Amino acid sequence: MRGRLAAAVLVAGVLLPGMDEGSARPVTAGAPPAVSGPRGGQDPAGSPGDGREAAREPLDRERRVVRILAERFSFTPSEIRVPRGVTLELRIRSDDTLHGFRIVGRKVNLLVPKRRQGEAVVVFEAVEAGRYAFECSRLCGAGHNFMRGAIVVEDTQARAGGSAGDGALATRSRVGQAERGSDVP
Amino acid sequence: MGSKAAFLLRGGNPALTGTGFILNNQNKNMHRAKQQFMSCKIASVLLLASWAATASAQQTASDPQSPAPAVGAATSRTGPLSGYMDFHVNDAQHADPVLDFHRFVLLFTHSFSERVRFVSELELEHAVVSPETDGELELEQAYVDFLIGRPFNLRAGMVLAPVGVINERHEPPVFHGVERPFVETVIIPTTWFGAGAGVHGELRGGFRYRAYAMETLDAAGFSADEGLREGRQKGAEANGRHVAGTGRVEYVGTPGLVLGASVWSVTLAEADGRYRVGEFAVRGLYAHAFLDGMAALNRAVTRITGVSPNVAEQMRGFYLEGSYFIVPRPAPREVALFLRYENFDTQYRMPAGFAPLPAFDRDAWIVGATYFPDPDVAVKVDYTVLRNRSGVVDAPNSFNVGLGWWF
Repeated sequence: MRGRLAAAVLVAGVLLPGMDEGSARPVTAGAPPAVSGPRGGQDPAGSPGDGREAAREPLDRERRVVRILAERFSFTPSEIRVPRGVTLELRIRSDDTLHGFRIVGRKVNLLVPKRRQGEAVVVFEAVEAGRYAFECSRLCGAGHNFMRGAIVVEDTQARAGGSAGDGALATRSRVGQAERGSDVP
Repeated sequence: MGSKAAFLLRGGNPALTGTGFILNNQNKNMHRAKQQFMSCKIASVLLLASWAATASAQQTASDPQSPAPAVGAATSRTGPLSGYMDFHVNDAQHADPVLDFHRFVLLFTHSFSERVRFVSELELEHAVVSPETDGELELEQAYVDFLIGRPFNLRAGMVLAPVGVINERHEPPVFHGVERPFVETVIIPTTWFGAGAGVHGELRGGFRYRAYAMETLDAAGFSADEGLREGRQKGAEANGRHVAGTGRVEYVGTPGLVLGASVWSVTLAEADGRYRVGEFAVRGLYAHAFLDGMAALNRAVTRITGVSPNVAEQMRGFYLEGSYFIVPRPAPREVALFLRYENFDTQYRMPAGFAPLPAFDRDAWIVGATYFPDPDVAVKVDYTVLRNRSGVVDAPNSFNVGLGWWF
């Protein structure tokens, strides 16, 4: 048994040197999220992430709404595929405790309210193709580390509206709002 | 396990009868009435306390002078550690009620980097660890995750066996009933943990997996009544001569639906499912253990102790549970009713030369309610009707009250 366990640890040792914090980021960077915040029963009036923020989205982008159910210990769906150029609105609801929603390497990190207490909303501008990992950022139980997922932005532009420059401009102004809305240290 | 204690206590506490404390029928009735009164008092106190606390919270929240709550502030905050607790009152027939602070669990985590993370779970069971009590201090989890990618990650340390519904998802507010299901106590010995290492990940289509090499179960701990439960080595200088392989495949691709199947070497196979739609939820599980060499084990133990453990070569159990939120409102107005049927036989197939003990071919109906003053706090009440196939040994029913919380 010791030999087999040692082999497993060795495999980890061989694989890990190639990894650092930076490599945890999506393979292709450059599509930062726009807006994040809570909504629902505990949403303070005018907080980031309410409908007014969404209304300022560029009108020429296709907008897709995806509802995510968070529960110990999964996000469903856990993989979201969108073509480049789409504005993705994630509405995350918990079926049990308080969860976190964090996009790795990005300034999105917010709480998902407990069951029946509202939902968290994240607006993600799919400007560049790539894989953007997300995870639960609030310890939620024994299987907390299993709560992971990914947004996959595919390199097939959905629609010819809005240049990449427009998207980047919109994103910059919203990142600041996302920082204020982030509620998980 | 509750059933073992209950069987030992049947007919009165042996220690008390041994000292001449024998109850006549009248005293027994008075004693019984006092027990029920005490259980009801405790249940009432728990319910009143939770209502009072939540009413106070509501008042604060609705006070226009109060500052607007920050995101999540009105629900709860947590620091660098989390945990859960479980307090029970078990009032079984033919025995005194038992007040038990069953579990006090703290979880500590640390991230060395985005990809290297540590998780631990330290549990104190039954409040006091001493030679006179059943208390245990257990390190149920202490592993390092090496997060490589969604489909493939490594884990090593003290890990939970990825078997069944409850073992990896055992926080008190996530299951109904004061006690965990019988099947996931004797056939699947939750909380089942041990030293090991393995891989886990999520594949496309909502499928995910765990596969670990872990310490084996110690067959010397198997028994006729508690099945595999005492076979856990718990990572405490575990015998490493053999290694067990265990794995689980899960489908989580549809909101509210989880389907899973697990194996533990060639010893145990299990399948389970959970589904929630609206306010209705259902869950079920089937587990079957196949044990080799139990005839030799029974004979060997008999030679040493003079008593055969009468371990079966097959054990099996299943349960089906339905629940419904009759008050589906935001906390503090969430109340769910549930009904669970369990059937479990730890003497299902006996090795040649050994007869099954019908007292351990059991089934149970558990009916009860869970009140959530907060989604992370559960006040539980249930009544358990336990039956067996024996005409001699009685299976005690029980009234149970519990308070469990997660933070």
